Amino acid sequence: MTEETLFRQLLDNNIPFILIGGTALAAYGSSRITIDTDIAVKTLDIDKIISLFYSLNLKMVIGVDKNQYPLFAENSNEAIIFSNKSDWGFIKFLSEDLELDVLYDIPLPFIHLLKSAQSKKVFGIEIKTASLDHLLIMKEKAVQNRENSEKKELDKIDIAFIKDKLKNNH
Amino acid sequence: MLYMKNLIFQIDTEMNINLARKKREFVINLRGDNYILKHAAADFLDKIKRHDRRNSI
Repeated sequence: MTEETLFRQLLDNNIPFILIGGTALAAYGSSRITIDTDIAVKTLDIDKIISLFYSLNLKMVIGVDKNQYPLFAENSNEAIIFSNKSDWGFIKFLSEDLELDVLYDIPLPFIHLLKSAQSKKVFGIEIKTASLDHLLIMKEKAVQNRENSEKKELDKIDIAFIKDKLKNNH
Repeated sequence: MLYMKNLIFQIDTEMNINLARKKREFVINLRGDNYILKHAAADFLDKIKRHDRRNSI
């Protein structure tokens, strides 16, 4: 499974999404390693996204076992019921080689994110990518609530990268 | 000139995205088969903690 397949499927199914997080920063030139891909979506599209991704053999994470491995919803119905009950504001999908986070509780209204997004060619597809200003707002919020010190340091690297880019753009 | 600048910027974006993928694949291969599972589990818990902290403020 590749990001291209997922992005194309979302576009083909008219599900709006915006690239955020580390992959969005890579599109702006960041050299930081990122393992997962993050996208922002509208809350109303969550059920549709779950059904679509299960049809592509991705699985949604619903917990973690005692050995620190993820637990998955067995099918899309179970995943939809779980996501409707949860108020975490994100869902995480996994295939053998891809980790995708779908975020719907974001510090900015989706429409604002969409209006300022830039179109960037990502893996050969034109993808709406969050603006640097909005990526900065999201990173600054993330760092405030982060306990994990290693990730906090990565957030700080990202914030410095974005501020530097913004300074050079102006 | 503007066209050239845009073209170079677009090529830079694509190269960097492809490089980011190569780096990810390298790290996953280096850390072994279960790395993506362990990473996903740890990140899942981290995101829930962040959500709880955000909502407790």
